[in-house]
Parts: sequence; C-alpha cells; structure tokens
Amino acid sequence: MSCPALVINNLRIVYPAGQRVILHDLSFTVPGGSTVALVGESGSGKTMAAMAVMGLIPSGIFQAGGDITINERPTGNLTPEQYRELRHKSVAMVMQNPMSAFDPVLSIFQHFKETFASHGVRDRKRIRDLAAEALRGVGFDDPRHILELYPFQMSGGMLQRVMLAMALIFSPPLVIADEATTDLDVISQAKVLKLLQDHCRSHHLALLLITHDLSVAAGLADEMVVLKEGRLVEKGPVSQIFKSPASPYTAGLLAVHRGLYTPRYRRIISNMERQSV
Amino acid sequence: MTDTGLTGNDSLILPPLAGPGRRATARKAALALSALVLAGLIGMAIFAPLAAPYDPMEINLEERLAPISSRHWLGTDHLGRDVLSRLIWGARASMGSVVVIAGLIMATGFITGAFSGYIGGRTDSVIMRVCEAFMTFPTFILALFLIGVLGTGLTNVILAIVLTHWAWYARIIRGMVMNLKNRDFILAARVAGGGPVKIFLRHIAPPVLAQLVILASLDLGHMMLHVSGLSFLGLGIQPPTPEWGCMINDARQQIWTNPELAIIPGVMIFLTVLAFNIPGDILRDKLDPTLVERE
Repeated sequence: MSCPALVINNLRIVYPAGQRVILHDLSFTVPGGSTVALVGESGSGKTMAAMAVMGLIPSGIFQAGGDITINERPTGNLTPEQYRELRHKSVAMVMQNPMSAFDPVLSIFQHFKETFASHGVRDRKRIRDLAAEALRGVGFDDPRHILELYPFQMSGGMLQRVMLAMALIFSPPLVIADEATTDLDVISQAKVLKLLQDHCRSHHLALLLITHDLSVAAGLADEMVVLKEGRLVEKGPVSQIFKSPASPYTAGLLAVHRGLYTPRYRRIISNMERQSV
Repeated sequence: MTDTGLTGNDSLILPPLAGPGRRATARKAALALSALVLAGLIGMAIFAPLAAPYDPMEINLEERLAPISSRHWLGTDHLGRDVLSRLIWGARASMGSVVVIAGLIMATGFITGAFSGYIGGRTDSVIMRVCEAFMTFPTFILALFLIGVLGTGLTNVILAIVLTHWAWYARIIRGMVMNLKNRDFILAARVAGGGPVKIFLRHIAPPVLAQLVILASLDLGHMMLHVSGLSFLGLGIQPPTPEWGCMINDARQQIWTNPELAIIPGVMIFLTVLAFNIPGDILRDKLDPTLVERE
C-alpha cells in the first residue's frame, strides 16, 4: 500500500568462528500496514534476521553484506546511538519466552513506567491510566490489579499479553513478533494473535511475524517468506503458497502441517474456541 | 539438628511440632530480637561518651580486678579500668572499623566486578587476573606485611582486610552481572531502545546490589572477627584504646583467675556477629520480591 516499513536487501550474516553462513543473501520487503510471515524450522535463521533488523546481532556474529531499511531509513551507517533511537521510535518487538523477558524484580507497573519514561512521559497517574487502558485492550478485566503484580506471579499467557500491550502502546510503524505465541496453548495463542492482528490492522502497522507454525502464518499473514538453513526458499502471497508451493521444501512443510492439522483436530480446536469465547 | 535427637526420616513421619504460622512467628521474634541487639550496639557505639559510666582509659590500680559490684557493673580489669565503659567504647572501634571495611570492600568489589563483567572481553580477563593475584594473599599474612612496612594501627588493619577481600566480591559480582546481562529481559530492554548505562542502572545494578548487601551483611561478622583477631595479636588497634579483641588479649594473664574479663568481650563479639546476620534476611525479603516466602 504505502511506503514499505521494512526492506531487507541481500542480507548476509556469518559466524566466522564456526565458519558458517547463517543467512545467505536474504531479501524481502514488509509493505507498510501489511503482515508478512517469516517461516522456517528451528535454526533456519529467522530470529537472527529479526536481531539484524534490530541491530542487535550477538557478539561473534557479523553482518557481512546487504542492507536493511526501516521506514525508509537506511540503517547501514547509523551510529549505535542513532540505531537505538530508531529502535526506540520505529520498531517494537514481541519476544519469545515471556517468562524470561521481564525483569523479575520489577512489577508490571514499573515495566510500563520505564517504557513511558523512555518516551518522555513521567506523570505516574497518567502512566497508570494509559497502561491500564492498554492492558484492558489485551483482555485483562482488572488491569489495575495486574499492574501491581510481579512477573513471577503471572502465567506465560498473561505475560505474553502484557508484553503485547507494552509493545503496541506507542503503535510503532513496524512490529516484529518473534515466535510470540509459541509458549502458549492454542486458545491463548488464538487470542493473542487476534489481538495482534486487530491492533495492527486498526493502527495500520506493519507486522513481521516470525513463526514455525504454518497455521499462524495462514491465519494472519498477507505474504509469506520461507527460510531453510539460512536460504530463502520461497516468498509470495500466503494463498498462493498454500495453493501451489513452488519449492519442494515448502510443499513438504505444508504436507507435514496438513498431517498434523487433520480435519478432526481442527474441529476439536474450533469447538474449544467457540466454548471459551 | 542433632539436639532434637531426630534423624531426617523421623521428621518425615512425625507430625510437625510447629505449624507454619508458629514458625513465622518464631522467625519474626528472632528478627525483632536481633534488630534490638543491633540497635543497642549501634546506640552504644554512637553514644559511647554518654553511656559509659567511667573514662575507659582511666587507670585506677587501687581497684584492679574488682569483682562485679554496684560501682563497677562488670568489674574492672588488671589496670582497674571499668570493663563496662571499655566495652561500650569498644563497640565504637569494632563496629566503626567494620562499617568502614564493609563499605570499602563493597565499593571496590562492586565497581571493578560490575565493570569487568559488563564490559567483558579482554578488559575482563585482565581485571580477573589482577583479582586472582589478590585472592592468593591470606588476610593475616598481608596484614603482617603491611604492618611490618607501614607500622601498626587501625588504618593498616583496615587496608589489609580490604585488600584481601575485595577481589572475592569483585568475582562474585562479575559472575552475577555476566549472568544477568545475557538474560532475555536485558535483550528486551535493548530491543526497546535502552542505552547500556541506563540498562545497567535499571536492570543489572539493583539485583546485584541486593545480593551484595546480603553477602556483605553475612560477612560483617567475619570482618569483625578479623579486626578483633588482628587486635588480639597486637597488630591492630593498640592498647590502651578500648577494643573487644584487645580486651581479650589484655585478659590473657588473668584467664584462670578472672575468666570473665575475656568472656565478656568474647560474648559481645559473638552477639554482634550473630545480630549482623539477621538484617541480611530482612534486606533479602525487601529487595528481592521473588524470594519472599509464600505463607
């Protein structure tokens, strides 16, 4: 639609110590306001791609080539300070592992406070109101109570929703969800994904959805990028890939997916969802 | 454990003697008692000039080795000095030096350890080798060396104890920082655009400091024993300055005739060390919400 939220061009990431190339010249685009799913098995380089976008490649691993443009801003020659600013303003990330992504000694309110403080909002009462509203938005009936809790007092699904609320609170133009629902049971997963999708649609945010779960990709994404061992296997509109995968690898993935999600299984899940809603 | 006469298996079979409620009460009582003892000791140290009935250095040979009486509540020592007054003034020297030592060790240990762990890489290796060098010195040997070179005195004792202890703290803190810095929530903070200094101050320093305070509070007793031990050997605080370790040393001659002269300061050291261990517990509960006992 509008300008692309993220352009990755020939991104090459190497791990010299292990003499491995983690990503082979990966290129794809996330158009503004659309959802792109980055699909692949564990170890295919999905998370590394996300870290490269954030400018947070772990030490010992290097970007050997290619460039990344976020919101029409090339990131190639940004200083660490400028990159931090860009991360802060234009990208939000929902991480995997909600249980460990929160500082265990800070309450949820303090987490919100920090997020707000980094955007220049310091009025405690205002933060409390806005945070409560955001938490209500992700389905908490008693958000003020949630604010007082510490991460260890909450379940993984609750924390995942809190993280979502926190990531989306300033509606950055690009949201990256890295296996954001992997730890959740199917029902919580459906809820969280729905919330994510609704928010991104209504605020016209681009979403890069990193997942190994093809049903997540099928349910949410407009386009799909398939990775295998750091190489791009296939990319295109989701409907097209599901209908007629061009590469045998994608076809294999789809076959496995269909094997797992038999009609009987899908019926059970949809019944469960209907009952819970 | 042994004095109950129960083995581990027995306690599994027998119903618990005290329920969780009673145990919590007992814990609270212990805390209150320790807090009281500690407050008393600190009060003694601060208000020594007011609290002490006599001048702790005043020698009165006519009244030497006087027994416990209404005039001298804890008697007098071999020079006729009032034991109670010396005890009260001794709290000042002992506790004061321990506070200084703990402060210095925590500051040096935290700064070097946190810096080393957070920066990592070659800087870290260099700092850690230096730490290891310091860790090889036993406290008493280094103290003897320093005192041999610089002369006796409290300053050198403090210096010796700090020099032989800071490296342990630096190492422990480095480990904690390295562990924390690779956690997901630090990555989350970086993803959210936090700078390295801010992330350190907000997410790494508080839990590390909490642990550090607990560690130090458990170590205070140990430091106090060092000061008293060195003073007992005649290396630290010099007579006639009142200090508990010195007092035990002074009482050596009378250990068979007037054992209370050694026992009383010994009991003071014992009580203080014991009482120092409790604030660690309180602080831990206050500073780390994940460790609070669920009752």
